[in-house]
Amino acid sequence: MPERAVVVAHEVGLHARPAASLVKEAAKFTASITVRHGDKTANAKSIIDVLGLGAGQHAEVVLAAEGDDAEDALDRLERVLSEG
Amino acid sequence: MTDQSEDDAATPAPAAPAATASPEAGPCRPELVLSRLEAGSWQEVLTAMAELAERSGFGAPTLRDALLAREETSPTGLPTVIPVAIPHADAEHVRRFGLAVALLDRPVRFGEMGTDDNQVDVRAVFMPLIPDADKQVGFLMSMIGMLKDGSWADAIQDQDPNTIADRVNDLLGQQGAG
Repeated sequence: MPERAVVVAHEVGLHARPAASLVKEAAKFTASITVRHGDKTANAKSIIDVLGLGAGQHAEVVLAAEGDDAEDALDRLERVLSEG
Repeated sequence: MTDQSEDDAATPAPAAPAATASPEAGPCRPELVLSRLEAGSWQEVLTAMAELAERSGFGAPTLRDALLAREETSPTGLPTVIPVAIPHADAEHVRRFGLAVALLDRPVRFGEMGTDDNQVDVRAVFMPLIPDADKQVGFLMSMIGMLKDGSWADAIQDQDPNTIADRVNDLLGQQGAG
């Protein structure tokens, strides 16, 4: 399964609006996508999961995707997280 | 001509924060709790909670408009086991750290966070008031930990504001916040 390590750029980390943006973008792909932060792993399409990660600014998270559009999904979500 | 004392009397003084809980008690204070709010829309819910926060010294006068504007563009309803909403505003609209809670008399429809047009019928609203932006993510994580499985509802339904505040603080403490 392809993975991508990304540093969260948004100044308040994966707070409500950045988390919502991530989930909205993830929902556009058919691939199964997860976000890992420390020992927590979230379904990238679940806002409750993503908010529960507690990933602040500069936190490193790992995106993983599996499915036909996995690489495209990783490219897009990496941009969402790294652009702040 | 009106003398100064009459002018002062005609101007509602900001409510002093109630001394019903010690500063160590946790972010949820009885004066921030609406134990059975009747509201017909999310706008009414947010207005009631913002006015309560302002009267209690936790919210700035700009809080209400900031909440309404943000909820309009970035809805905060969550499809948790018992649906909740977690409206919030930027730190500049908050005066003191706290958590306002409203248990709704009947469900109120909010937009669902992370979707373009889904809606959820919300039963309770938890409004973090965080004047320090750096603390928002950690507090939100604790709040989600408390809210996601629905067991919080048994602890606080049909209780008075003091009990609700105490139990919410206990539940948040179990998640590492408070």
